[in-house]
Amino acid sequence: MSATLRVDDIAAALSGIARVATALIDGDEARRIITDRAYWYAADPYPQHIHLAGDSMDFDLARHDRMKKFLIRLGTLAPVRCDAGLWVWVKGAEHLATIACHNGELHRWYRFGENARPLEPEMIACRRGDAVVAPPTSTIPFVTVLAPVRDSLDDVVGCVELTAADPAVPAEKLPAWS
Amino acid sequence: MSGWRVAAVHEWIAHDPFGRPKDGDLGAGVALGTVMADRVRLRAARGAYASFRVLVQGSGAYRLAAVVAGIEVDLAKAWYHRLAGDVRRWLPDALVPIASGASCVLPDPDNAIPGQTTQEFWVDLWVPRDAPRGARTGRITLDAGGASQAIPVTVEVLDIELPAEPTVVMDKNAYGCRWLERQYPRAYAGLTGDARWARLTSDLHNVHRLFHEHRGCFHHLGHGHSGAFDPIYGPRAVGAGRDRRLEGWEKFDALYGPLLDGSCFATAGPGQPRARRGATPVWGIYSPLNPDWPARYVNWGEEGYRVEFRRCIAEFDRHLRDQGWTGTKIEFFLNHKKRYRWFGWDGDETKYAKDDAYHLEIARLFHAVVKGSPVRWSYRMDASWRQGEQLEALAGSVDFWVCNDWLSWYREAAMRAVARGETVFTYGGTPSIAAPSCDALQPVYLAWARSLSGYLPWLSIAPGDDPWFASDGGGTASIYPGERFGVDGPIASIRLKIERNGVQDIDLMSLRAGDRADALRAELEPTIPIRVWKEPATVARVLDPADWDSFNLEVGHEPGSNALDRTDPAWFSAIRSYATGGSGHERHPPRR
Repeated sequence: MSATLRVDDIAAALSGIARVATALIDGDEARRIITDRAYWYAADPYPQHIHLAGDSMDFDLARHDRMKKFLIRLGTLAPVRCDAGLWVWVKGAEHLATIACHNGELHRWYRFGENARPLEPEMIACRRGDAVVAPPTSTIPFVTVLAPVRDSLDDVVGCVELTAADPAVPAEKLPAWS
Repeated sequence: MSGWRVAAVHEWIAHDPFGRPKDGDLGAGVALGTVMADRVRLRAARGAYASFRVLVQGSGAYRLAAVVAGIEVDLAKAWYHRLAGDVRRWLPDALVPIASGASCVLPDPDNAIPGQTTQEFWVDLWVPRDAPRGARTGRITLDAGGASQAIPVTVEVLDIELPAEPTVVMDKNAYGCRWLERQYPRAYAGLTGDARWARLTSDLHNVHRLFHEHRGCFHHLGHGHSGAFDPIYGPRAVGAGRDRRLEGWEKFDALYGPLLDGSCFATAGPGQPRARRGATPVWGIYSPLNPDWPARYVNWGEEGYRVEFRRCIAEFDRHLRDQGWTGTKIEFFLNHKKRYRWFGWDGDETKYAKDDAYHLEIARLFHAVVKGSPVRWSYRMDASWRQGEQLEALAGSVDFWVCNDWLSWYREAAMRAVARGETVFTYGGTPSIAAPSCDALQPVYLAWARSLSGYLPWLSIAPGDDPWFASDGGGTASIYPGERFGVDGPIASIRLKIERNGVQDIDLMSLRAGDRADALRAELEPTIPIRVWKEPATVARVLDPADWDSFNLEVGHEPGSNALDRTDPAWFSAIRSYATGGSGHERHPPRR
C-alpha cells in the first residue's frame, strides 16, 4: 500500500492524525512531563558546561510513559511508517522548543543530544493554532505534519510532530540510529 | 651508505618524523643518546608477541627487511598523523602492514611531511606455541644508497606459554554499523540491499578479527536509543500478544554465527598477518533486547508486555541453544538515556533512584525466562552516577557491571560484586596519540590491580573525519580504516599494540603468580605510581547523585572521563619484568 503513496497522500493522512492529536492531547499534562528543574536548565544552558542541561533532564515517569504510549498508538494510524514526537515550549523561555517524548528514528528537526532549539518557522506557524505540513526538501527526506497542542487556556503550548519518510527514499537508507 | 641510519627503539618510545622523541615518553633519568639502540634483545613466552620500533633515517629510496629464525615477524610502517590545529606536529600511530623487504622512500610522499628525515616502523615478533625454549637470532636490515646496515635481534623464548584467554578483557566499543560506509566509501559505492548488509557483516567481522588478534574483544551495539536496529542485529518480531514471535534469522546468523562459534577467528582480516590467537568464541556480544523489542513498549506494565517478552526471549534462547552458541556472554543491555527523550528513565548511567524500578522489573522478567539456560545470558548495566548504591540495590538483578572510573570511590562495593561472581569492568576513553605511549597500559593495569574483569573504551572505531592530516587525537579510536592504503579492512594502531603487549604481561604475571595474585597486587601497588582506589569527590560525599552534574563535579563531560595519572613513562617495567621471568625490579627501557 505504502509503495503507491505520494508525498501529498502521506501529508493528507498525517493531517488527519494531527486532528486527532490536537483533540486528545491535554496541553497542561504535556507540559508537566518535563520537571521544572529540567526546564530551568534547558531555558538557560551554561555554555562552559554543555552537558549540564542534559545532566539535569528528568521527567514525571508516569506522564512520560502515558504520552509515549499515546504517541506510539497515534503513529499506527498512518498508512506508512510514522514516528510521533511531542515538542513543548520551554517554560520560562517560550521562544525555545524541546522534545518531551518521542518514538522511532524519523525526526525532522531533533538532533541527537540537543536540549532545546529556537522554534522552527513551522512551529511558529503551528503556534498560531493550525496544523502545518512540511514537505520533503532537497536535504530533508521527510514528510512532516505538526499538530498544535493546547492547554486549558486554549494557548498552544507545544506541538505533535508526525514524521514519515519521503517515499522516494529507499527504506534501508533511513536512519536506524540517532 | 652515507647519511642513512637504522636504529631500534623500545616499544614505549615514539619518535616524530624528525627523529625527536614524543613528549612524555622519556623518563627523567633517560639520556636522549641512549634511546636508539644498535641491537635488540627481548624475552617472549610461547604464543606471545614481543615488539620494538625501528627508526630509519636518511633521504631517498630504501628497503627494510626483518627476519628471526623460528619466529614469525610482522613489519608495519607507522603513519604520522598531523594533529588538527597544529600543522607542525606529527605523531605516529596507524600501522600499515608491509612485507619484509618492501620498497619505501624518505620523505614519504603519501604522508607529505615537509623535511621528513625519519620513518618509524613497528616490529612484532610472534613465538609459535611449539617453539622450544632458548635464543633465536635474526636481524633487521636496511638497504639504502647501495649499501646495507643490520641490527642483530635476539629473542629468548621462555619456558612458559601464554594462556589462550586474557586475564582482563580490553573490550572495544562501537554503536551500530553504518560508520563503516563512511570509512570505506569506495567499497560501499553503489551497494544496496542484501549485498550491502553482507558487506557490513564482513567488515564487522574484520574489526572483530583485528581486536581478537590483539587479545581484545569488540562490542557493537545494534539498537539505538529508540530501540530500533538494522536487520543484521536481530530477527523481526512480528505479531502481537500471544502471537508475538521472531522471524528471519538469516542476517543475524550471518553476523553472529561465526563470532559465537569462533570460526570468524580462524582467518585474519585483509592485509593482516595470519590469525594466531585461536578460533575461540567471542567473549561477549550485545543482544538486540531493549525496552521496545521484542516486547512492545506500548504495553509496558501490562500483561501483554510480559507475554510478548517471555515468548520472544524464550524463542531467542532456543535459537542460540539449537545452534550450540553457548560459549559467549549474551548481554541484555539498555543503552537509552532520558536526556535523549525516547524513554523517561535511564537505561544507561541511571541518575535517579526512581528509575531503578524499571530495571528491577525488566531484569526480573528476563531472569525468569533464561534461568537454567546453557546460554550465557547476562543483564548488563553501565553505571556512573549511582553505581555506589546500585552495586548493592541491584545485586541479584545485574550480573555484569560496566562502571565509569568513579568505581575507584567504591572499593568495598565493587569487591562485594566481584565476590558474588559478577563481572565488573570499568569504562572510559582511549589515550590520545599525543599522550605518553605508556598511557595505553594504565587501563590494563588498573583492571588487574582492582581484580576486575576488563576495561571498555566507550568508542574505539571513530578516528574522526580526517585522521591522517587533521587528527582529533584518536581518543575514540584504536584502529583505522585501511582503504587509503589499499587494505580492504581495518589496520591497527601503535596504542593497540602496546595495550596488547600489556595484556600479555598481565596474563603471564597472573600465570606465574598462581594463587598469589592478590598478594602480588598488594606488593606491586605501592611501587607503581598510579592510584588504584581513590577518595570520592567532595560533591559526591555531600550530595545525592541526583544533584551531581558535570559542573559541580568539575568534569568536562558527562561521567566517563578518566584523568590519567602522570607517571614515569617506564612505570610498567616492573610488570614486564615479572611477566617475562625477571624479579620485577628491572627497568625497561634501562636507565643509564
